Amino acid sequence: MAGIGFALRTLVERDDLSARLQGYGHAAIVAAGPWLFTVVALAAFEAATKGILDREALSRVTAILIYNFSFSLVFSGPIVMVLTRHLADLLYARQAEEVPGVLIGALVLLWGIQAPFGIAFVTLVLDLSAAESLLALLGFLVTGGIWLACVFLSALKNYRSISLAFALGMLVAFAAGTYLSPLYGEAGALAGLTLGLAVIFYCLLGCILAEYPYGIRNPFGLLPSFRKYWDLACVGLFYNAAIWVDKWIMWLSPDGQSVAPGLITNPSYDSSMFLAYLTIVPALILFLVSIETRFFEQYVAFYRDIQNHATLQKIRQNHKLIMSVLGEGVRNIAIVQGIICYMAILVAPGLIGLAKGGIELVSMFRFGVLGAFFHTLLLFAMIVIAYFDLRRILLCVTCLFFASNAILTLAFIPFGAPWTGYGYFLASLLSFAVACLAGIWCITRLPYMTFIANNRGLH
Amino acid sequence: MVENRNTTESEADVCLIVEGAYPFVAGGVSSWMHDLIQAQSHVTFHLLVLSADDSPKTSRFTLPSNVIGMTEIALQQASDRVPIVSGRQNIAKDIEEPMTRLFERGGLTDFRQLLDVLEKHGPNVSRSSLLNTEAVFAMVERMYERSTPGSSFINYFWSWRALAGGLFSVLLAKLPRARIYHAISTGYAGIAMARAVLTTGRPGLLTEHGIYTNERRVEIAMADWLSDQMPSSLDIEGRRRDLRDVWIDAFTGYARTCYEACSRITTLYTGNQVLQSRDGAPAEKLQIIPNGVNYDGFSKVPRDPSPRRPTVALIGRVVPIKDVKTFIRAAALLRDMVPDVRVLLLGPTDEDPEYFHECRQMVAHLGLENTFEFSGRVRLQDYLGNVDVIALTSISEAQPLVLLEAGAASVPSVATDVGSCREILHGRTDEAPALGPGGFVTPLSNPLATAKGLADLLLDENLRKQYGEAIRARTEKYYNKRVVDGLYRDLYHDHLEMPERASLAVEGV
Repeated sequence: MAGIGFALRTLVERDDLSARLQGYGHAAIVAAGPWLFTVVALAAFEAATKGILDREALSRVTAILIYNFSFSLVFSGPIVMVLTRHLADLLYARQAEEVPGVLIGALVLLWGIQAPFGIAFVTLVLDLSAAESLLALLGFLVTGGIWLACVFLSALKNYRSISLAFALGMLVAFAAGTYLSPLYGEAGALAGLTLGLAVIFYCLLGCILAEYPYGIRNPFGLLPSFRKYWDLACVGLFYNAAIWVDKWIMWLSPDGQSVAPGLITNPSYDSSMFLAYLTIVPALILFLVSIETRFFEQYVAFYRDIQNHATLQKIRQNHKLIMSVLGEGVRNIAIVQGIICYMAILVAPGLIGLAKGGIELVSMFRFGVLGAFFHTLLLFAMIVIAYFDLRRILLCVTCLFFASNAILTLAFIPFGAPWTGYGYFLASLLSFAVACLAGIWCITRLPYMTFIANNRGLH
Repeated sequence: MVENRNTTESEADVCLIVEGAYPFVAGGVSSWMHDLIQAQSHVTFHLLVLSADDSPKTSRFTLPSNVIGMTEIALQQASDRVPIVSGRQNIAKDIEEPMTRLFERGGLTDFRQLLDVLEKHGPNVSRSSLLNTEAVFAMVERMYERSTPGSSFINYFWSWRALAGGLFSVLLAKLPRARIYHAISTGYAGIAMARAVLTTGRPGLLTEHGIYTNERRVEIAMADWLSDQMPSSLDIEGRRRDLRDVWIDAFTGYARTCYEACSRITTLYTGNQVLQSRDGAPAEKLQIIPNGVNYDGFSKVPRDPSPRRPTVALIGRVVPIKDVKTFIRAAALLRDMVPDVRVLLLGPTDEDPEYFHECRQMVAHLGLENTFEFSGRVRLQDYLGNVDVIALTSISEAQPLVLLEAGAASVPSVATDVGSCREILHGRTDEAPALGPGGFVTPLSNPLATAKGLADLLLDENLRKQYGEAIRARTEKYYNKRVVDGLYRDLYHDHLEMPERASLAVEGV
């Protein structure tokens, strides 16, 4: 007679913990890296070409660069998120030989989506010379490729190579830009930039293929993961769109400037926001350090102990430790970042003066700093939520961030310059508050969430 | 959800409740049920089949025409998605007390309370509300703290879900209507029967072939994952309570519930009754109904009078549980006691090829090629007339029919002291008039005792005839299929006639 044999057989423990660790271990870098790189690259470009290009040419090239970064990030967002999980799953299943195939498949997919939009935009909307069009388009594709390649390298935890690649690429862009701009003007500057990006891209590709020296097989093995992790794909899309949506709206606002046919930006808004973003660097470093050390340890201990047959008492103790580590981490980051934020607001006029901005930028910058403060905390809250694999909550929060950033930015346009940036600030504050509450709500119930509500072994 | 394949809604005479056997699994119990249904052709049956999961299964039997309906309940079902904010938490509070007690070797009182709670909360109670809410999780935590606070929580959690999941599947499923609920084991089948008895007021019967709780004990003892990784050397008090106890206590609670709910508990032989009593079966409900054999057919097998070698046979598959090796060793000894003896093994040899290979090596090694034969699968009637004594060396049996089939043909046996062998060969203690021994009972794995018993019967023709007559008479009187069918007919008859008991009115509650 069949007895509990069935029960004994089906009670296999599921373990997707390692995959999850792989997947979210470096989410902060993957999420904030491109964000900061954009700012740094723009600043470096302006510094490099100052005095070589005239003001109008400079703003045109800057605009092209911003467009590239902005839209490549949004297009690559969903693929990057799914790819991160897919890659972690592959590595966990010891199928590293599929990595080169996945890389190619993901690039083909990304470029297959980017290219039609890019070509249509460049040819139908913009009015550039053939050389400029081609370079702009190439830059667009290569930038997307870079975001994608970073996923593989963060899975490798190969930060030295990433940093070196970016440093080298920036250097090439700088040198080539300085050399080519006087000769060919705008096209020269663009060519220099694109070359620099290409160098970064090829260096990254080189690192990946050196680490995974296998032939290409099953290049579209990634596609089924889109169905499995569709929520992550949406998170990637909404989050990246949320970062940019306030800028897009400000471009289209009455203050937006058309630097070339079809190329609209809002230089004052953009530059004050970009400058404000730089203030998050200390918090980011702090977060990486505390994630890499204490929280990560506690997180692993919590799940490993459960799988290693810990008693309930031990599980509760681990749970308490996670909460206290998180609480402490949040407190530290909030204090440090709060101080930086406060100082940045204090010295805003001086900073803006240094950057030769108008006085109307001061309030924008201040809101930007506050917005970036909460945006950073939101990012951290999201990463913690992602660690616990609460994907639905993540999705809700990113949707909220996107929607609130769009609506609030739009809502404050009529109030004019003094209120510019207030929408972004409110949106990040609101989204952070929601993410924080949702996160706390779940994490205080972590054992229940782990065993029942979020236990995929049950469903 | 629960698969509920009602082929008809009309009330059956008997609802047979079976867990993981008939009609989807072939085997001893399944064949027995098939025979039972056919033998009681005047009674209509509804099958309530409890399966491990809801995967589709194919029937191994053609259901007899008096089976008027079949309902299938999957014990383990995949959960619906859990809403992160779950409502209806209060049911957990109400079920906690009876659940805790039922899992601690509780009984019908606790089970009835559990049923009351479900009743009170109405038709909206779902598996999910009983398994997946935060309040239920808190209850699981408390039950863990009470029972095995030092053991692996993840194992407790999965164990609890398996045990309670099956219980809730049975409690929430729609039960077919019938005048008698007859469970073919305790466990979940017994729980389903207890529920039917409590809610319909109709009588319940239980027939146990093997003792479910005991089988689970063996299974659980062998489940490595249930053992704790905690260092046991720290325990001075001996073995600490661990998850095995959780499982066994829950199954004991289920068995008690079933024993207390039903009106009659039948089993094959007295040995089982000891185990039933230990798990709480009231003595006055116990009854023995052995399996019957086709006495009329086997008693007509003629003895072959022509001169031949003295012949011994073991009838059974060549598998370790039959301990064929002891039989081969006994054959070697027997050859020295009875010159020219012929030893047969009648039964399929393909089930465990490795074991068969070892047995053949042993035959060769002992130089038994001219004595010992593996005859393969045969028709017993063709051989029985030429066999003088039957041997049985099994290390485990319930009620071996071969002793009775041979007995019907007046062939005595030498059998190990397992299952009901002693009862078959020596008669039950309440046998009146005593019919005398029908063979010898030997210790397990004892080739010398087996050989000696066989030699005694082979060498002494009078003894052989006397024992053969005794076993024939006993088989005719107690193990004749017609007699046994009559016992079941009476059992059903008595209970079909019983008036409805007021629902939920349970003695001692």
